[in-house]
Amino acid sequence: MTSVPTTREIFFAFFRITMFAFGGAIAWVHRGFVVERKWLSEHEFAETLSLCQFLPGPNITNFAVVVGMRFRGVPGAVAALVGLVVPPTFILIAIGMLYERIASVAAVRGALNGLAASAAGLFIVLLVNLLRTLVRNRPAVSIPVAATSFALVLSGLLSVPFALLTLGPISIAAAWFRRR
Amino acid sequence: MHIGHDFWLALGVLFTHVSFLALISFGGVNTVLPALHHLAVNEQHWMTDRDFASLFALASVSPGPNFMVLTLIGYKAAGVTGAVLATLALCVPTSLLAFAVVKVWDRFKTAHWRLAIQEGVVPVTVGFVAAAAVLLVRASDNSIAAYAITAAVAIVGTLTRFSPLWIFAISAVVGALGFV
Repeated sequence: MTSVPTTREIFFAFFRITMFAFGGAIAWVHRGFVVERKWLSEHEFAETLSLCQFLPGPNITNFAVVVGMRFRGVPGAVAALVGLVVPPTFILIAIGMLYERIASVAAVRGALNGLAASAAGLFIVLLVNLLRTLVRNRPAVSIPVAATSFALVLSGLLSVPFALLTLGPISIAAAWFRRR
Repeated sequence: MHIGHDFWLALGVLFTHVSFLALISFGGVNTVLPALHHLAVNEQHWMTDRDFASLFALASVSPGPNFMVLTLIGYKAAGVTGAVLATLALCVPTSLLAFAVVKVWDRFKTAHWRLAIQEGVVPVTVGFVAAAAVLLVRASDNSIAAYAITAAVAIVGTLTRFSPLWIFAISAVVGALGFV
């Protein structure tokens, strides 16, 4: 059985996730909402996630809106979104202020260089996971498409919106005919 | 900051570009990272390539979802107002869209065209993430030590189940001592 949380519980659930989730908030949502609190069944979680992945924008903000709505309507969606975004906004503004002041200090500059190198590495991990999924699903089409969009955008030949506008329809058409 | 024409122009550019990019960010904000990098570094000169890498790293290790690098970009562009505006421009339009789509989702979640769109768009956006990875490595790694850190995180993250978080901590210390 799943239970329906209150608006307050929704707010604090997303607050907790946003403050403590490192590297992929969705995994924490799964643990918090499905495993621990039983607010969503596995099936509901998977279904909601596929909607959030279909929509543009961050998966996690879409998730907040969709489950907030499902539980408590518009107030639930607002509580979820505010709990997720507002607290870290304050923290990041403070970090931005601090950055302006102390980024020129040699030791801070060095620490940031080290962190930036690590963050680039973590981004590569994310990319490798995406590529693994592509290789598992129809690589004959998806890998050349991904390689083309990579080359177009990195070389500056096309901006992201134009690359999406030109390659997107071709790739969607290929998927359309393959699925028929 | 001197509040004048430039300030309002920065706010206008931030809001229009960020909300537009958010609405085409299928698969999350990482997919439009090359466009954000281009906007902030090459086009508007809000920051250097180095700043971009540092702010991305700070957003990765701070509380809050990683897409909140946009809050820091907004801060660099137009102070606290810019930080708040960039965060809103990212979250509000996409949330309204999610709000609208969730009501009709059940009608087309298994529709042929919807599945074709999702299947077709993913490889295009993976190409964008790959371009973003190259841009981040270029911006972050200016020494052998930095490349070594990036490679270490990438290898640990893809091949083992260890959290690469401890490499972040070590890399910050090594950097602060002046080795990166």
